[in-house]
Amino acid sequence: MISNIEESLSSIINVDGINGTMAIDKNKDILGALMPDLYDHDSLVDVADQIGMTYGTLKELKIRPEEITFEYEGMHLFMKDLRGKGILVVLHDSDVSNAFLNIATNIARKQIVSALNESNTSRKVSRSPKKTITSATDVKTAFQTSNVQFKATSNLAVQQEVEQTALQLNLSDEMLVFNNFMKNLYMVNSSEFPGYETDLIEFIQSSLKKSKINPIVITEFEEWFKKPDEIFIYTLMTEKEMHAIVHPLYIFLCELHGPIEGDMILNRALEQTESLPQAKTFSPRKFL
Amino acid sequence: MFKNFILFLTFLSVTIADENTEEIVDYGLTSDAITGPDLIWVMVCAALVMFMQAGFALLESGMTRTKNSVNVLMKNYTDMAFGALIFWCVGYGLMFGVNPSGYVGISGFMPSELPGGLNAHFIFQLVFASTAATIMSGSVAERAHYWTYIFCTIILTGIIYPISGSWVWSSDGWLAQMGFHDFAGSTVVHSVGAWSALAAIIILGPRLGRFGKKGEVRKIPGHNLSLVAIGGFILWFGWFGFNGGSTLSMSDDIGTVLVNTHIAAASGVAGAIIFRLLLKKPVLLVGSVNGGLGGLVAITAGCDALTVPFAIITGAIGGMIATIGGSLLEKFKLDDVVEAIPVHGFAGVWGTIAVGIFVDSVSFTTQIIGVAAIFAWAFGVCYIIYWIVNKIRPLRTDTVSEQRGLDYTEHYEQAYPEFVQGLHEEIKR
Repeated sequence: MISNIEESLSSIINVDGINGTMAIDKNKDILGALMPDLYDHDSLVDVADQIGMTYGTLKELKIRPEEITFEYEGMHLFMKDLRGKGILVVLHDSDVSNAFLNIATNIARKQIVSALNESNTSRKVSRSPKKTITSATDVKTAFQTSNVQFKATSNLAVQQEVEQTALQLNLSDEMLVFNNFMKNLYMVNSSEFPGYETDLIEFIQSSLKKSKINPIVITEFEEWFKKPDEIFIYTLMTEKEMHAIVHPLYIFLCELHGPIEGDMILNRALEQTESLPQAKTFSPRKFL
Repeated sequence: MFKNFILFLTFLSVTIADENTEEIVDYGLTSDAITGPDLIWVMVCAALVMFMQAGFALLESGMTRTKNSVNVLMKNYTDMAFGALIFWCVGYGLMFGVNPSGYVGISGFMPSELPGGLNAHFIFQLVFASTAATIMSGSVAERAHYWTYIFCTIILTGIIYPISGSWVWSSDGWLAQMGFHDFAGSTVVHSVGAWSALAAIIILGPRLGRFGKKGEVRKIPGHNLSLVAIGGFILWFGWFGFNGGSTLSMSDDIGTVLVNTHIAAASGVAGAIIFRLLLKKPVLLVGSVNGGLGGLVAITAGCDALTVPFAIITGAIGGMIATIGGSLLEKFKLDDVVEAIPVHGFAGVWGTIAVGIFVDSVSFTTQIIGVAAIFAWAFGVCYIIYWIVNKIRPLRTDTVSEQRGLDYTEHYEQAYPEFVQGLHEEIKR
């Protein structure tokens, strides 16, 4: 399990400009961390404290963000909720591409969550950093694997690398179900409606921007609508994001065909998707 | 806080009742005005009018989609409940209290004990008020927030309906003084409910996809036409109490009123069907039921004064108006789910004017003035209030609620869980 998590974290720090990654469980204990030399023990403890305080405050306010970002001592922290299992933290320079960052963190998140699910033993690599780490050397030995490589690659190369990684991954049940559902929802005789694709993309774009979901999701959908026969969506989206995409598409179908037809298309897509074996573990009704 | 509020209500109620024991209403009634057989008749009619709520609930529920049927039923059920309470608090006093100005009653609020037969009068008027309120629920179905709707009906039942009602049914009301004739409320009850609905649907806007970008009109059929038909029958049945009870006595007039009521309803159905045949349109159940209701609404104003032939004409034209009124609204892209505005508003206007046309003793001009004044009051004030309410808390639900259905998003229960997107899996009580 530990190596899986560290592999996942390394997939993030290999992205150009990323300076470090860390996974913390819900008790704020560190599951794994990969940090360059510039981070000493105190910095890590500070980072962990900062994360704990931030999430603690949000929890008190009864806010459970999927992801948050904030600046800390000149570095940008990007944090992603591991669906109640913990928090994934990425430290990066300001010029890093958010799009690549999101893809990478999503891939890592999936791996980490899988690793956690598979493990029935203790998930902790160490206890709280305040208690177990006493020096910068401890930080390296505790949290760094020996084969970590920092690559200075171009954005294009990173994108290709990430895409390859994504394709090498077996699509999760969620994403298979989602892809299937979207295809069924999208399958209309567009020849009857001139300008169908253009109108649809514009409508989805404006709706998604209002919903403030991950920009990479919007980008991926723009591409997917151009070639819907392919499995294009590989970002590991949350259920909330999936719903945020399905709903504007439903509205568009209602506006185009009328509400009765819109409901029928939605229900048909639901029925067809539910025939998939994967739908037994992840119900497409969650998109609704 | 709540305890103090209850104490305040109790204190206010006792105080007012003590001060106005014998002169609560300015209706030409004394405490022994409704007694014996009259009392029985009015009470039975009040029960029949109350039963019309079931008719409205079935009719409106049947005309909506499965995913919104509980919401419509809930609106019908609870607007009656809240309407009754607010009518007791302020509505009855505003409508039938001592009315020195001719514009509004100023006594008889929160009566703790009404003398003798006035209880019959109170309960009969209370169920009338509920009828006015519930007309709106069908028009705004499938996209109006439940609690915002309830708030609007409280305003309607507590303030708007009683004030315009006092103009006509209080003996000192300014329209009553002019000789305006609206026997059982074509305008006072039905049109007021419809104008309130009109204001609401203008603010709400149409349902998702109801009108296409190129102006196409998409019909959204209801989920259960059996409920529509049964609802229609119950309303027809209840209307005998609605019109018959308005005599407030077991007199010979009842015969005329009930014959006219039934004949006009039949004419409304026939008129609607014949009209559609002439237009070479299919004869639909919903159109036929609405035609009958249009006939009933139209005859309500003059059922005590019209002869049977005129009742037939009034009812038939009422049915036709109810049939074509929906198309008129659609031209303006107004989405009235159950076509309550044509049925209760347009047919109500026609019925009130028809009294001025067919009855010699009633002034046509006065009827026009009354109809216009009540439209201006009900629509104008409702529009302003709903507009303000909409700014504070939107009247309309979001599109996600429209997709999921208001049964799920507003009430967490569904009438037809096996048909509705399976959202019951996610319901958290």
